[in-house]
Amino acid sequence: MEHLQLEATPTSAYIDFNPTTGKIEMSGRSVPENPLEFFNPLTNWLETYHKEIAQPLSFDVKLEYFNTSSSKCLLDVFKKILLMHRAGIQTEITWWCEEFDDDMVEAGEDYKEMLNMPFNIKIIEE
Amino acid sequence: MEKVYLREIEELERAQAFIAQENIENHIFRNEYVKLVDSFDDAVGQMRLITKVSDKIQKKLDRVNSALDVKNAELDIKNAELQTTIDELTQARAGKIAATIVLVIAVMLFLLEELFIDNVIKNLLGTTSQWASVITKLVVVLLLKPLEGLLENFIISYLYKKKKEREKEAEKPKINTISEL
Repeated sequence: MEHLQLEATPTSAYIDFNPTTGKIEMSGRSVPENPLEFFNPLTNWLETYHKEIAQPLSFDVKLEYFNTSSSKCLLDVFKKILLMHRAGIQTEITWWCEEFDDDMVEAGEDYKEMLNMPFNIKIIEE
Repeated sequence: MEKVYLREIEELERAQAFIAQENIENHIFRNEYVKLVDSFDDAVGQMRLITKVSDKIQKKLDRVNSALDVKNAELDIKNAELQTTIDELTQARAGKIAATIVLVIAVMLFLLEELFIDNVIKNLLGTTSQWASVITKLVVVLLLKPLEGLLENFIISYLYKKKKEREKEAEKPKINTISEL
Protein backbone atom coordinates (compact mmCIF):
# COMPACT_ATOMS: atom_id res chain seq x y z
CA MET A 1 0.00 0.00 0.00
CA GLU A 2 1.20 3.46 -0.82
CA HIS A 3 1.16 6.54 1.37
CA LEU A 4 -2.03 8.53 0.66
CA GLN A 5 -1.66 12.28 0.96
CA LEU A 6 -4.17 14.86 -0.28
CA GLU A 7 -3.32 18.54 0.06
CA ALA A 8 -5.90 20.87 1.57
CA THR A 9 -7.85 23.18 -0.75
CA PRO A 10 -10.32 25.96 0.12
CA THR A 11 -13.10 23.36 -0.10
CA SER A 12 -11.47 20.11 0.96
CA ALA A 13 -9.50 18.92 3.95
CA TYR A 14 -5.91 17.72 4.21
CA ILE A 15 -5.56 13.94 4.42
CA ASP A 16 -2.50 11.97 5.36
CA PHE A 17 -2.81 8.19 5.53
CA ASN A 18 0.39 6.40 6.37
CA PRO A 19 -0.12 2.62 6.02
CA THR A 20 3.27 1.92 7.67
CA THR A 21 2.37 3.62 10.94
CA GLY A 22 -1.38 3.06 10.63
CA LYS A 23 -2.07 6.74 11.23
CA ILE A 24 -4.59 8.87 9.40
CA GLU A 25 -4.83 12.60 9.86
CA MET A 26 -7.59 14.77 8.49
CA SER A 27 -7.63 18.52 9.05
CA GLY A 28 -9.06 21.78 7.74
CA ARG A 29 -12.40 22.52 6.12
CA SER A 30 -14.49 19.99 4.26
CA VAL A 31 -17.09 21.56 1.97
CA PRO A 32 -16.41 19.81 -1.37
CA GLU A 33 -18.91 20.05 -4.22
CA ASN A 34 -18.61 16.34 -4.82
CA PRO A 35 -17.91 14.75 -1.42
CA LEU A 36 -17.83 11.19 -2.80
CA GLU A 37 -14.99 12.08 -5.14
CA PHE A 38 -13.04 13.32 -2.15
CA PHE A 39 -13.94 10.64 0.42
CA ASN A 40 -13.98 7.57 -1.86
CA PRO A 41 -10.16 7.24 -2.03
CA LEU A 42 -10.07 7.25 1.77
CA THR A 43 -12.81 4.64 2.19
CA ASN A 44 -11.23 2.47 -0.54
CA TRP A 45 -7.86 2.71 1.16
CA LEU A 46 -9.40 1.76 4.48
CA GLU A 47 -10.94 -1.34 2.87
CA THR A 48 -7.58 -2.31 1.38
CA TYR A 49 -5.83 -1.64 4.70
CA HIS A 50 -8.37 -3.87 6.45
CA LYS A 51 -7.88 -6.69 3.94
CA GLU A 52 -4.12 -6.50 3.36
CA ILE A 53 -2.52 -5.02 6.47
CA ALA A 54 -5.03 -5.32 9.34
CA GLN A 55 -2.73 -3.63 11.87
CA PRO A 56 -3.70 -1.10 14.63
CA LEU A 57 -5.09 2.10 13.20
CA SER A 58 -5.59 5.58 14.62
CA PHE A 59 -7.57 8.33 12.97
CA ASP A 60 -7.10 11.97 14.00
CA VAL A 61 -9.84 14.34 12.86
CA LYS A 62 -9.10 18.06 13.17
CA LEU A 63 -11.88 19.62 11.14
CA GLU A 64 -12.82 23.22 11.73
CA TYR A 65 -15.90 23.14 9.51
CA PHE A 66 -17.70 20.61 7.30
CA ASN A 67 -20.95 20.50 5.36
CA THR A 68 -23.84 18.04 5.64
CA SER A 69 -22.64 15.78 2.81
CA SER A 70 -19.22 15.56 4.45
CA SER A 71 -20.83 14.60 7.77
CA LYS A 72 -22.44 11.61 6.01
CA CYS A 73 -19.20 10.64 4.26
CA LEU A 74 -17.32 11.00 7.52
CA LEU A 75 -19.81 8.63 9.12
CA ASP A 76 -19.14 6.13 6.31
CA VAL A 77 -15.39 6.40 7.02
CA PHE A 78 -16.02 5.88 10.75
CA LYS A 79 -18.16 2.83 9.93
CA LYS A 80 -15.29 1.30 7.96
CA ILE A 81 -13.10 1.75 11.05
CA LEU A 82 -15.89 0.31 13.20
CA LEU A 83 -15.89 -2.80 11.00
CA MET A 84 -12.16 -3.16 11.61
CA HIS A 85 -12.72 -2.70 15.34
CA ARG A 86 -15.40 -5.41 15.31
CA ALA A 87 -12.99 -7.67 13.43
CA GLY A 88 -10.61 -7.41 16.40
CA ILE A 89 -8.18 -4.81 15.01
CA GLN A 90 -7.07 -2.17 17.52
CA THR A 91 -8.58 1.10 16.33
CA GLU A 92 -8.92 4.55 17.79
CA ILE A 93 -10.58 7.72 16.57
CA THR A 94 -9.58 11.09 18.05
CA TRP A 95 -11.86 14.05 17.43
CA TRP A 96 -9.87 17.27 17.94
CA CYS A 97 -11.69 20.52 18.69
CA GLU A 98 -10.53 24.04 19.37
CA GLU A 99 -11.00 25.47 22.82
CA PHE A 100 -14.48 26.98 23.38
CA ASP A 101 -15.78 25.31 20.20
CA ASP A 102 -18.68 23.63 22.02
CA ASP A 103 -20.60 22.91 18.81
CA MET A 104 -17.74 20.83 17.42
CA VAL A 105 -17.37 19.00 20.77
CA GLU A 106 -21.09 18.16 20.70
CA ALA A 107 -20.84 16.98 17.07
CA GLY A 108 -18.02 14.64 18.17
CA GLU A 109 -20.14 13.39 21.04
CA ASP A 110 -22.96 12.57 18.60
CA TYR A 111 -20.60 10.47 16.46
CA LYS A 112 -19.19 8.80 19.57
CA GLU A 113 -22.67 7.88 20.76
CA MET A 114 -23.56 6.25 17.45
CA LEU A 115 -20.31 4.35 16.89
CA ASN A 116 -19.79 2.70 20.28
CA MET A 117 -16.03 2.18 19.86
CA PRO A 118 -12.85 3.92 21.20
CA PHE A 119 -13.58 7.53 20.28
CA ASN A 120 -11.70 10.32 22.09
CA ILE A 121 -12.68 13.95 22.06
CA LYS A 122 -9.69 16.19 22.74
CA ILE A 123 -9.14 19.93 22.90
CA ILE A 124 -6.30 21.47 20.87
CA GLU A 125 -4.04 23.36 23.29
CA GLU A 126 -3.35 26.89 22.00
CA MET B 1 -26.00 15.50 -1.89
CA GLU B 2 -28.24 12.69 -3.18
CA LYS B 3 -25.22 10.67 -4.32
CA VAL B 4 -23.95 10.24 -0.76
CA TYR B 5 -27.07 8.15 -0.06
CA LEU B 6 -26.42 5.91 -3.08
CA ARG B 7 -25.99 2.74 -1.03
CA GLU B 8 -29.22 3.33 0.89
CA ILE B 9 -31.11 4.05 -2.35
CA GLU B 10 -29.74 0.85 -3.90
CA GLU B 11 -30.88 -1.12 -0.86
CA LEU B 12 -34.37 0.35 -1.14
CA GLU B 13 -34.57 -0.38 -4.88
CA ARG B 14 -33.44 -3.95 -4.28
CA ALA B 15 -36.23 -4.41 -1.69
CA GLN B 16 -38.79 -2.83 -4.01
CA ALA B 17 -37.74 -5.15 -6.85
CA PHE B 18 -38.08 -8.12 -4.51
CA ILE B 19 -41.60 -7.14 -3.47
CA ALA B 20 -42.58 -6.83 -7.14
CA GLN B 21 -41.79 -10.52 -7.69
CA GLU B 22 -44.68 -12.99 -7.69
CA ASN B 23 -44.96 -16.41 -6.00
CA ILE B 24 -42.59 -15.77 -3.12
CA GLU B 25 -42.93 -18.00 -0.12
CA ASN B 26 -43.81 -16.39 3.20
CA HIS B 27 -40.59 -17.24 5.06
CA ILE B 28 -38.42 -15.75 2.28
CA PHE B 29 -40.60 -12.66 2.43
CA ARG B 30 -40.03 -12.45 6.16
CA ASN B 31 -36.23 -12.63 5.78
CA GLU B 32 -36.29 -9.86 3.19
CA TYR B 33 -38.55 -7.81 5.41
CA VAL B 34 -36.09 -8.17 8.33
CA LYS B 35 -33.25 -7.07 6.02
CA LEU B 36 -35.24 -4.04 4.93
CA VAL B 37 -36.12 -3.09 8.50
CA ASP B 38 -32.44 -3.35 9.48
CA SER B 39 -31.44 -1.20 6.55
CA PHE B 40 -34.19 1.31 7.34
CA ASP B 41 -33.12 1.35 11.00
CA ASP B 42 -29.56 2.14 9.96
CA ALA B 43 -30.72 4.87 7.56
CA VAL B 44 -32.92 6.50 10.22
CA GLY B 45 -30.00 6.41 12.68
CA GLN B 46 -27.73 8.02 10.11
CA MET B 47 -30.27 10.68 9.24
CA ARG B 48 -30.82 11.57 12.90
CA LEU B 49 -27.08 11.81 13.51
CA ILE B 50 -26.38 13.83 10.36
CA THR B 51 -29.23 16.24 11.12
CA LYS B 52 -27.95 16.73 14.68
CA VAL B 53 -24.35 17.25 13.54
CA SER B 54 -25.41 19.59 10.72
CA ASP B 55 -27.50 21.68 13.12
CA LYS B 56 -24.46 22.08 15.37
CA ILE B 57 -22.19 23.07 12.52
CA GLN B 58 -24.86 25.51 11.31
CA LYS B 59 -24.99 26.99 14.83
CA LYS B 60 -21.21 27.39 14.75
CA LEU B 61 -21.42 29.16 11.37
CA ASP B 62 -24.18 31.45 12.67
CA ARG B 63 -22.06 32.31 15.70
CA VAL B 64 -19.06 33.12 13.49
CA ASN B 65 -21.29 35.24 11.22
CA SER B 66 -22.67 37.16 14.21
CA ALA B 67 -19.14 37.80 15.49
CA LEU B 68 -18.18 39.00 11.99
CA ASP B 69 -21.18 41.37 11.89
CA VAL B 70 -20.11 42.90 15.23
CA LYS B 71 -16.52 43.28 13.97
CA ASN B 72 -17.78 44.85 10.71
CA ALA B 73 -19.89 47.35 12.64
CA GLU B 74 -16.85 48.24 14.80
CA LEU B 75 -14.76 48.60 11.66
CA ASP B 76 -17.37 50.94 10.10
CA ILE B 77 -17.25 53.18 13.19
CA LYS B 78 -13.44 53.22 13.14
CA ASN B 79 -13.48 54.02 9.40
CA ALA B 80 -15.87 56.92 9.97
CA GLU B 81 -13.64 58.24 12.78
CA LEU B 82 -10.58 57.90 10.57
CA GLN B 83 -12.31 59.74 7.71
CA THR B 84 -13.28 62.59 10.08
CA THR B 85 -9.66 62.86 11.26
CA ILE B 86 -8.39 62.86 7.65
CA ASP B 87 -10.92 65.59 6.74
CA GLU B 88 -9.88 67.68 9.74
CA LEU B 89 -6.20 67.27 8.89
CA THR B 90 -6.81 68.21 5.24
CA GLN B 91 -8.78 71.28 6.36
CA ALA B 92 -6.04 72.29 8.82
CA ARG B 93 -3.39 71.88 6.13
CA ALA B 94 -5.42 73.93 3.64
CA GLY B 95 -6.05 76.60 6.29
CA LYS B 96 -2.32 76.87 7.04
CA ILE B 97 -1.42 77.24 3.35
CA ALA B 98 -4.23 79.79 2.80
CA ALA B 99 -3.13 81.83 5.85
CA THR B 100 0.47 81.96 4.59
CA ILE B 101 -0.61 83.07 1.09
CA VAL B 102 -2.98 85.70 2.53
CA LEU B 103 -0.21 87.02 4.79
CA VAL B 104 2.12 87.44 1.79
CA ILE B 105 -0.69 89.13 -0.21
CA ALA B 106 -1.46 91.42 2.75
CA VAL B 107 2.15 92.52 3.08
CA MET B 108 2.32 93.16 -0.67
CA LEU B 109 -0.98 95.12 -0.67
CA PHE B 110 0.13 97.27 2.25
CA LEU B 111 3.43 98.02 0.51
CA LEU B 112 1.54 98.76 -2.71
CA GLU B 113 -0.82 101.04 -0.83
CA GLU B 114 2.03 102.92 0.90
CA LEU B 115 4.19 103.28 -2.21
CA PHE B 116 1.71 103.80 -5.04
CA ILE B 117 -1.96 104.11 -4.05
CA ASP B 118 -1.25 106.92 -1.54
CA ASN B 119 0.35 108.90 -4.38
CA VAL B 120 -2.57 108.16 -6.71
CA ILE B 121 -5.04 109.41 -4.05
CA LYS B 122 -2.85 112.46 -3.47
CA ASN B 123 -2.88 113.25 -7.21
CA LEU B 124 -6.62 112.70 -7.48
CA LEU B 125 -7.61 114.75 -4.41
CA GLY B 126 -4.78 117.22 -4.78
CA THR B 127 -3.83 116.90 -1.09
CA THR B 128 -2.67 114.22 1.35
CA SER B 129 -5.76 112.67 2.96
CA GLN B 130 -5.08 110.57 6.02
CA TRP B 131 -8.68 109.29 5.97
CA ALA B 132 -8.41 108.09 2.39
CA SER B 133 -5.30 106.10 3.30
CA VAL B 134 -7.00 104.59 6.39
CA ILE B 135 -10.11 103.67 4.40
CA THR B 136 -7.96 102.02 1.69
CA LYS B 137 -6.09 100.03 4.35
CA LEU B 138 -9.41 99.09 5.99
CA VAL B 139 -10.76 97.83 2.66
CA VAL B 140 -7.60 95.71 2.24
CA VAL B 141 -7.99 94.31 5.79
CA LEU B 142 -11.71 93.55 5.28
CA LEU B 143 -10.96 91.75 2.02
CA LEU B 144 -8.33 89.52 3.61
CA LYS B 145 -10.76 87.23 5.52
CA PRO B 146 -13.03 86.37 2.54
CA LEU B 147 -9.91 85.91 0.43
CA GLU B 148 -8.55 83.44 3.00
CA GLY B 149 -11.87 81.54 2.93
CA LEU B 150 -11.87 81.36 -0.88
CA LEU B 151 -8.27 80.20 -0.96
CA GLU B 152 -8.93 77.58 1.73
CA ASN B 153 -11.88 76.14 -0.25
CA PHE B 154 -9.82 76.10 -3.42
CA ILE B 155 -6.90 74.31 -1.71
CA ILE B 156 -9.23 71.74 -0.07
CA SER B 157 -10.87 70.86 -3.41
CA TYR B 158 -7.39 70.67 -5.00
CA LEU B 159 -6.12 68.32 -2.26
CA TYR B 160 -9.20 66.06 -2.58
CA LYS B 161 -8.83 65.98 -6.36
CA LYS B 162 -5.20 64.94 -5.98
CA LYS B 163 -6.19 62.27 -3.44
CA LYS B 164 -8.83 60.84 -5.83
CA GLU B 165 -6.29 60.74 -8.65
CA ARG B 166 -3.85 58.85 -6.40
CA GLU B 167 -6.61 56.37 -5.45
CA LYS B 168 -7.49 55.85 -9.13
CA GLU B 169 -3.83 55.21 -9.93
CA ALA B 170 -3.63 52.67 -7.12
CA GLU B 171 -6.74 50.84 -8.38
CA LYS B 172 -5.35 50.48 -11.91
CA PRO B 173 -4.00 46.95 -12.57
CA LYS B 174 -0.26 47.00 -12.90
CA ILE B 175 0.90 45.96 -16.38
CA ASN B 176 4.39 44.58 -16.42
CA THR B 177 6.58 45.91 -19.18
CA ILE B 178 8.83 43.57 -21.13
CA SER B 179 11.90 44.91 -19.35
CA GLU B 180 10.25 44.26 -15.97
CA LEU B 181 9.45 40.71 -17.01
